[in-house]
Amino acid sequence: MVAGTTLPDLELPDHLGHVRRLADLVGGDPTLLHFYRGWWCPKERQFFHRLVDLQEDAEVAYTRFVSISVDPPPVQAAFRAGLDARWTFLSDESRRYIGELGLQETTDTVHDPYLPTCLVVGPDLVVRAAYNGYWYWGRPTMDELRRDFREMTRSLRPDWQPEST
Amino acid sequence: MTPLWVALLQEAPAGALTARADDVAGRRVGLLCLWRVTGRPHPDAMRADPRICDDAGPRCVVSLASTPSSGRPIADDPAVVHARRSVLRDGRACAVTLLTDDPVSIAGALTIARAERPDEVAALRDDPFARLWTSRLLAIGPGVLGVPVRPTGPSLERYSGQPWPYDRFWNQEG
Repeated sequence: MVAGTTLPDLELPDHLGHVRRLADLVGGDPTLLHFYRGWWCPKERQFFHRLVDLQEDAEVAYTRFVSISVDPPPVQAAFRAGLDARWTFLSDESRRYIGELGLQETTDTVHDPYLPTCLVVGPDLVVRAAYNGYWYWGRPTMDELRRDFREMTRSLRPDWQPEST
Repeated sequence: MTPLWVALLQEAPAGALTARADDVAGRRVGLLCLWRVTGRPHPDAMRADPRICDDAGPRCVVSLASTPSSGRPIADDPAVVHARRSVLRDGRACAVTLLTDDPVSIAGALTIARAERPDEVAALRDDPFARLWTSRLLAIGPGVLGVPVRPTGPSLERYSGQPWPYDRFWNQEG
């Protein structure tokens, strides 16, 4: 998965079991699409703590997060509540998209999870930045995400540089 | 998108979608009235997220929380922001919308459950906005409400001053 890829409009149940479409979740805003292994992985829990810290900036910055795993919705709902995350989690319990996206972690034959990956996408579902998080240090720092969100916001908002009076 | 206006009235006004509103004991409270028009159609009408309106919608149960007209909080009042965070964290209803009196003042919130969904109806008992303001549960007849409107999060700002959770700027609407 690399920058420039156009994602399919994923259609998956969220953490409450309601079917959602990726295009609706992204809307017109910069969005972090975050694929994670599952609730059981300590690296994921550590990374989620960073995202939870970032969410208070995102909530005032017209920026959205979506996290996807193979965990079933009730597990995601409990995990999400424990993290105090306030964004949508999507469940691909049936691995519907894992092959199409090329994000299957083949070294884990027990959980058959998504390869940890962070994608920064825009309303056109084109990937602007991609981070392979198989090794923890491959994941974006929050500063890198801020720079990605700044660049995308600059490109999306025609009034980024407002006229002064 | 054309603005949506909502009011609870006793008489059916011209040009509005209406449905009977009953209290939990089944007593008539009035009519829930919705308009899709640019200007305020009635002095009691408040703006809402236009996506909640569904003229083919099912029977619903709503939690209608109202702020006192003498002291409307601003949209970014910390208590209002915290209630919106609670909706993002825990929300299980079909749809929710803030009700706005003007671009800066909050008149209340409308949280919607489909009557045939006991899980959604039960969630109304924990409406975060009902902790802030006077609220009541109302049974609403079919034909006015019910399109699922679920925000993504964590973003919770209003877009161009429109009632949360409507999530497009004016220049992004299709």
